[in-house]
Amino acid sequence: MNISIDYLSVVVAALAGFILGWLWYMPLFGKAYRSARGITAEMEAEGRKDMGKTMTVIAVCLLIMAWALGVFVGYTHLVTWMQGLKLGALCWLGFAFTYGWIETMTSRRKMGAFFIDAGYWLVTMVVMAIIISVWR
Amino acid sequence: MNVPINYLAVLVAAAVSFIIGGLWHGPIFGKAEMAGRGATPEQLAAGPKPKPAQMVSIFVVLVVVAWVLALFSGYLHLATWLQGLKLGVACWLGFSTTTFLIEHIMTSGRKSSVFYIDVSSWLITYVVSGVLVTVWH
Repeated sequence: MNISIDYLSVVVAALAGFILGWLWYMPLFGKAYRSARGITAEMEAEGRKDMGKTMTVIAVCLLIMAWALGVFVGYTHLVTWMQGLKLGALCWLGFAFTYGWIETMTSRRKMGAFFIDAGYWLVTMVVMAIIISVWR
Repeated sequence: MNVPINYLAVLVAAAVSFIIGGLWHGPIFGKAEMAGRGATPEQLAAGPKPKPAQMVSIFVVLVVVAWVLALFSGYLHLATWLQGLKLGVACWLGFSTTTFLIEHIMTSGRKSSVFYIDVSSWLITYVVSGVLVTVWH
């Protein structure tokens, strides 16, 4: 089964997800997120030491996700932004929202953090899927 | 985009995942996972004690996973168990491990054992559901 994936669109989609993540967790919801997860200033300073590694892992994960979306777009021959939106939303509902919900139910986590995380993944996956769909 | 879905297969896939997951996070790796999440010795001695509300929401979530996999399987006209397995692995790798790894690396004070136990549990769920909804449609 040969499908064509436009790797440039995959990289651009991952980059968009990365920029969105920065916006989402810094200026937009950074403060609310830190308070919901109980992240203190000391923990943040500690986390900054590993920032290079953390950012690399996030970038690689976003690339893998964009690639998987690219495979689906290729198999299903999606071309319009509406189709991309549906694919992104469906993947989010089935695979990202589900996991976040179980994680929230089984750990002592505030709902605020769940909504911020789930919202980020919904926006990111929809944006990625739209970029990859309309690019072709 | 009308895809026929065998809802019985979706429910059975969710039920099988639920049972395997219960064993995985209970008798098999339950205590290791609790220790990795920073449980106290008293909590560890008591063992994992999921509340009924948690059990219900986990089952509902597993139904959603199986339903979306069935949707993809139907839309892509998959029929063999190997195709179902590939679909499950692709969705697991592309969406489950990625969101999970980011979550894990951003959460402090959690051991990597938790990551491996959870991620392997999800792999089983995706493969079981992917294969079941594909061969039984």
